[in-house]
Amino acid sequence: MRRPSALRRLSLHRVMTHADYVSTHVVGRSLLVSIAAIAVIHAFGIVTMGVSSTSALASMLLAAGMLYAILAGLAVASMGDDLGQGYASLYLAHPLSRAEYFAAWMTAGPLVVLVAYLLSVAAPLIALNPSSMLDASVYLPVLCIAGQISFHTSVAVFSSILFKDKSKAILALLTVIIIAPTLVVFVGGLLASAIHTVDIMSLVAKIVGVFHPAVFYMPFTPRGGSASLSLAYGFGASLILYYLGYRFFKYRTDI
Amino acid sequence: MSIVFDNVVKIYGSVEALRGVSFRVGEGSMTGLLGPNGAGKTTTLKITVGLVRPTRGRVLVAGMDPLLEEHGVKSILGYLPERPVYPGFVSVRTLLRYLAKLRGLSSRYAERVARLAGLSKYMDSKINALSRGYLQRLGLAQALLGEPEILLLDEPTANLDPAARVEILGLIARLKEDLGATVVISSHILPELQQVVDHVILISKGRVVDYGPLEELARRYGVTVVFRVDTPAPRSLARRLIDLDSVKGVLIHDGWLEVHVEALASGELGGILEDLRGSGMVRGFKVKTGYLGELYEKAISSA
Repeated sequence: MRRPSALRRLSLHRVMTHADYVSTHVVGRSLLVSIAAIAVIHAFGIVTMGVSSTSALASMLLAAGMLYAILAGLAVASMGDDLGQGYASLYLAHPLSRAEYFAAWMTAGPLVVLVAYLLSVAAPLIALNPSSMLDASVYLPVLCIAGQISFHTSVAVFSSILFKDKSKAILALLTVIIIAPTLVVFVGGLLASAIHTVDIMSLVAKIVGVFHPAVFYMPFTPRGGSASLSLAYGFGASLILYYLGYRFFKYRTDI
Repeated sequence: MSIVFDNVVKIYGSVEALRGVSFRVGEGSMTGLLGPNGAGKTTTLKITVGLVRPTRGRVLVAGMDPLLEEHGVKSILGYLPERPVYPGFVSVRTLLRYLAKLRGLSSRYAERVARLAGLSKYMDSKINALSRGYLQRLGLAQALLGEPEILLLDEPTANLDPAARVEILGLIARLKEDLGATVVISSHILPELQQVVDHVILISKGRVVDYGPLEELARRYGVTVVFRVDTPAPRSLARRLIDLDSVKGVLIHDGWLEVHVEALASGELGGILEDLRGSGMVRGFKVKTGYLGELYEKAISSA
């Protein structure tokens, strides 16, 4: 007889019990408060200046998106210590499957941040100008940044499982969010000043887009960018990283 | 059978932690998993729980594969890890209630296991404020949640002072009586284990050297226990003891005897000596060497 898949055997009760425990005691209330604070500031920023121009809104969304990604990454990187220091063996010795443990972390980290982000954008826009939600120039950047946040948190999830160490997971996250793009822009700037025959900065934008998928659509190329590429890469890459992280955790990770 | 290991191999990188381990643990037994540090005891227990995936081989816990039937195995199993790491910033009550909730139990059960493990007074203490002895009790308490059919205890007396060791072992023995569970205790401290186990698995360098009922193994390897008996009349007491079938030899010293007895009859001899103490023929006695150590040595050397 064929066994039901791990997903079908998932108990929502246990996922939520562990997610509640993780968010309250492991990730820490301070991080959740920070996420809530950013959500409020973000919403306030949209209300006061964002609706005045599309580019201002894009910049605001992009900056906030990066903060959200860092917070979500920090939250989920704690899973590295959970696995590396032995807390996980305490929880997983009880009736909590690996799939449920993984799902609980995804709920406590990426899902909470993504929902907070979307609410902090949607709430003021709906309150101020509901019809703007039907305007592609508004919701497409929002979705592209949501894809980017998802991609960044998936990097933190994957590296947490791979390294079983919070510091290494945070380093991997910061490399993707800040260090690598900064280096690319710096080297690109140097090359652009020396070589004038090739459009170096266009190439730089594409490489930065590998680290920040929203850049494929905004803000360097607000009209000429590809929303579909940004969305497909952002959400696609994160789904692949989540899946690989889960498979590695389920079948390769000793606790 | 409660636990079956069939030719289990576990390789960590270039280290072969288990090299074809096979054994069976019967229902309701109190089994000692004996071996020095690095023998593979912790890996064996972690594989049983499903925390570590074996490289090769088959493991069954109550007929279930720990990796394929995670919930089934974990709901009948309690596990005390070797070096339990607890979130020190939560209280004992918070942790036990959360773990009880995972098992679908009400918070009443958290209070119950805390009482069983002697932790009731510390329910509101932060975990990082507990002493080693009480941390070990917390480990036992969480392992007892849901009254598991199988209890796996990895070095339950490690890092404890002698008094706490005796107390924890007594607690384990009482819990086994109360719950009627199958218990597997891993330890490298052999003398204390012989007080509580009735079966043993002897493990060395990732291989099971032998396993089975203690009685059977002690007979197979001809293991003896040495008693030191203080007496005012060594010669007459020696004559009396040597007539016993189980006594294999008596050495006479000035004011005391060294009595070699078959391991399995050591309890019987203890009773006889106790009676003789009442008559004044014996001033006192104690076990000089435990037999588990000798059993282990003999099994290793004949492997």
